[in-house]
Amino acid sequence: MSDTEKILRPIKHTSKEFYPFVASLAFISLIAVYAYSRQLSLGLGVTGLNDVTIWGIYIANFIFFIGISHAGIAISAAVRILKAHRYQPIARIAELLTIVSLVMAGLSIVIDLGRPDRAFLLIVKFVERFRYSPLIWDITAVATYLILSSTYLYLPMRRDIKLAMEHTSGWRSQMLGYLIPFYEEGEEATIDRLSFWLAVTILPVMVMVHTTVAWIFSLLSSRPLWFNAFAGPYYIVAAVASGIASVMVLAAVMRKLYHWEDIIRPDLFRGLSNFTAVTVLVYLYMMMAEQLAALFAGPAGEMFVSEEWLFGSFAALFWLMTTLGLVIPFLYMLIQAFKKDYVNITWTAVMSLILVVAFWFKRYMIIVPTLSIGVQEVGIYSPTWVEIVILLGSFALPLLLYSVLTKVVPLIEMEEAHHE
Amino acid sequence: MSISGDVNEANHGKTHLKNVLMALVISTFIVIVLSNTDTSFAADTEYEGAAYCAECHEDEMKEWIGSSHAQALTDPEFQEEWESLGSPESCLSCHTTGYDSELNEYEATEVSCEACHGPGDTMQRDTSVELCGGCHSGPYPTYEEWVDSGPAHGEADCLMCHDEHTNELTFETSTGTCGQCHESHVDEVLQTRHGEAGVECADCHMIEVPVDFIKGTPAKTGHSFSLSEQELDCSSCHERPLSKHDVLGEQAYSCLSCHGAIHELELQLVNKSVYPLDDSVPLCAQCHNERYTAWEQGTHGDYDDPKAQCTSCHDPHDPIISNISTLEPIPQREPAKQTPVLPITAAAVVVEILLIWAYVLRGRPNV
Amino acid sequence: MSKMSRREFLKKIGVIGVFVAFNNVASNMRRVATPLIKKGIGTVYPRAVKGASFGMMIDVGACIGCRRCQHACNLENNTPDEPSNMHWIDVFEMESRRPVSEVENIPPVGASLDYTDAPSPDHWYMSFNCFHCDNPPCTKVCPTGATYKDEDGLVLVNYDICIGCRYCMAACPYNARRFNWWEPQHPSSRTNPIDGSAVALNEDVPLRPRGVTEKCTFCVHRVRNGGVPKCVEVCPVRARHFGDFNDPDSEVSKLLKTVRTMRIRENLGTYPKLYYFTRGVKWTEDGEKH
Repeated sequence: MSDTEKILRPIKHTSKEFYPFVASLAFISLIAVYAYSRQLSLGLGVTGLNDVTIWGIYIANFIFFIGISHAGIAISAAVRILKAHRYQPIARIAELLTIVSLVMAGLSIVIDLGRPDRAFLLIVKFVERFRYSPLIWDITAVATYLILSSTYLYLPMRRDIKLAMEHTSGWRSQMLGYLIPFYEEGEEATIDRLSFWLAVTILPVMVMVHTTVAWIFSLLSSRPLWFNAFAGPYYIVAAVASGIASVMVLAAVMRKLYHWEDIIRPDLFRGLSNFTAVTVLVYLYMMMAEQLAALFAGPAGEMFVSEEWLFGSFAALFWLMTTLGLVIPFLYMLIQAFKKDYVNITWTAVMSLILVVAFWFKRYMIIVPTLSIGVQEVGIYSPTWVEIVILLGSFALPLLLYSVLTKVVPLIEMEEAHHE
Repeated sequence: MSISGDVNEANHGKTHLKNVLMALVISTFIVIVLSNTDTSFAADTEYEGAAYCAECHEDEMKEWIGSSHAQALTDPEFQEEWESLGSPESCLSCHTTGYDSELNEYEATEVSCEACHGPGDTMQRDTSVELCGGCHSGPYPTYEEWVDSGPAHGEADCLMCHDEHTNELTFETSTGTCGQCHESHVDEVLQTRHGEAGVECADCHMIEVPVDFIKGTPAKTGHSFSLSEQELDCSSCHERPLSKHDVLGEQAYSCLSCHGAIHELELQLVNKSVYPLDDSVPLCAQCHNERYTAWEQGTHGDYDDPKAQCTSCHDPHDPIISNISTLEPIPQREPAKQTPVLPITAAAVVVEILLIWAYVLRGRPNV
Repeated sequence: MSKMSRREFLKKIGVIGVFVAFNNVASNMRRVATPLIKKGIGTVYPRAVKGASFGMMIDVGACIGCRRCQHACNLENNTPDEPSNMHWIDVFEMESRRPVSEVENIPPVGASLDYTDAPSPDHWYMSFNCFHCDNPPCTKVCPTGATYKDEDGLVLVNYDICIGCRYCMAACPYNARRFNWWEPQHPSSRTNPIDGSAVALNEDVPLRPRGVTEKCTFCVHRVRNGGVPKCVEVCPVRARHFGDFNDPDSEVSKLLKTVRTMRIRENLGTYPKLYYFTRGVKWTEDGEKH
């Protein structure tokens, strides 16, 4: 079948494995909602948080999802601005991931609030607090990013939805028609130009998003290992690495599921994998620099936390995460890079998944050891079932959303694919 | 002249001779008698002993016989002390009568009549302080103290307070004796707590300190009278162990730092104002001014009765409220049950990877 | 035909299922949201004392670790009981060899909160509460402005605006802030731990709802009416001193002239208003005061 038909196949046809998969994701999400209702009912005390370790899994989730959301614009920007058309097929996959993960990030923050019923106050007091609070800056940046990214995702998608509409019939066609109100022929040229400038605009916004997230932590001078001037780039490198790794996983999975082997070519994975390898290497270098500074001559707090990371209560987690989670995938990707024109998509996807999980743990490691310093038993923060279930749900829900979206919108730009 | 009136002239010649002879005999007799007489009545100036005087002065003898003078040598305490020091001769010059230091002999034991009135029939009458001071000085420096006690007591000689023969106080108690001059004062004191309890002037104003021959410190016989010269020790009567407030002075001066109002021993401030014992705040505030400020503000003391007196919580003699109990610790929040995060996550990741591999990556023929 | 009815059947089941689930969750949330809404309490503090700059000084040589300040503060400020075990003051037992200035983290590493027999000869005692810094990091980062520094130097929390994000708690270098993780339990009367008498809730202090941050207020309801905080009042060894640093006649101003002080983590530039000083150890091994 033609590429167009391949791309439209998920919309037109749903396999029977899809339903149990979605149902199980929905089930996990519902359990997570139930867990959240327990938290709403009894208070945040049902988590393992306490007056010393005030942030835990929820905030780690938040940073993680913000990080993953960088993939979309990174790849799209590479395509549109750098004219790296090789990555065109996965651009929309990445952008969808951006939207979904941004939504999850926002949800994670709301889950973490003690008074979610007062969340509207963030908007009411927005102007007054804009001068002072890094959280407000973060909300500004994330909201801007979300709006711009959604626009950037939606506008070029209209052409593909139109095409899908033409290729489908019945209620599907009708539903797709509702997605593109006011469609005009010939709007693609305008949208193209608009998208280009949108991409240019979103790039700095993307940088600022994760910088402001980094500033939430790095502007607190009293927190060891948080307070440093270079936190923005530090977090962004991790974001890019984890984002692209998750895109690779998604792309590999969908490529296999929907038989898009010809559309999403191996060299695309090779390129992404090489880039990820470099990013992970840079990140490892930054991690090493951070720990060295703290251990060598750090003030009491820094040295204490660093020792806890490397030799103390968090040592097992840290070394597992670094060696198994970061170094081994890096080494695999490095070796793969040196083998000319070679790429094993399966293994790349597996290593990318390991990277994603490792980066989640790295976000967790950022939050918890610094906060629990000095508490009698360091590491006294112990997540309860509520937090773990909500964590699982926070992965199940975006997957669910994504899966459903897969059935609604075409995931690959068909014009380009068609005209290649 | 003629021999004619020879017979008349011969008779006048015989009477004139008889007169001269009579004059010669009488004057010889007078000379003999007078040359055998002393200036004192008894030409006897040897020590005779007290019994000799008692032949005439029986009343005085009865008075003297019970006095301490009458046991100056034979008093067993004196003997014990004297022998323990090796029976030095220097003691005997006062403890006996008519002691000759060269011959180491004394005429009579004790301080008898002749010690003051002279040996035998001398019967001198010397009421001067120097006479008593001749013995009551040196190791028992009553005379020196009296001299130093100032002009006031300098006018009162020994006999004003002490009977010369019985040695007792002229008015039975020291209070009565002192009251001869210090009448209004004594009347006041008798109204006070100490006075009503029977404490006498001498109990505080004439405190005796024994002599220490070994160290060579003289006694204190209390005849300096002034309070500052005395070694006051309130604890000889009052059981009041001082804790922390004993830094206010040595022995009684700690007590007097607060209980300075003389005789009634109420609370006396540095500025001499006097307060009753149940109004302790001004006194305590003199030193503990920070605490006083806090008390005034209502932040120190009994919170149910903020204007309670200091002494309602603090024992003034042992003011530290020690052993303040330690209250229960506030229970810290129990750390949440340890959820085995790592194994669960590892298991989840493995399951995830397996599912993806099994379901997706292996390649399904028809999806 | 059967396929259709099966699908329809499934659809109906699905609809009913979703409805049931939604109802369940909704009722849970309704049960939750009601107390959240009812507890809008109206945080009202007395008017600020213009031109004042309140602060506190603690004599660490005099403190015997008896915890009366802690318990009195709880009774005065209506802090909730189990399971929150909320308390605004912490008293730590520190080893003698540790200098006061070494305390960098609060809680200090190796310090004990559970000691039972104080004062112990080889230890000293250090109590902490909010320092009401002159350059507070917590008020800067609050996204809704619920915590603020008032004109008289007190750093206060408006419990009606706090959304419970706990950013202020992350920013505080001294871990002085507490969070209401649970629904606050206020028995109708509490027990005075010293004499066992019943103590009613203090009407001058607002009750806090669940999900907001709270901390020491220097007993704002007392000090703005000319009093001193309750902890200063009850200290039996008079280790705590409170006053207005702008008033040259106040106790703390005079103390500043006569004793040498230090503050915790001064290098962070927070300018805390709680100074520590000592005039030497004031109690002996037996617990006797010097």
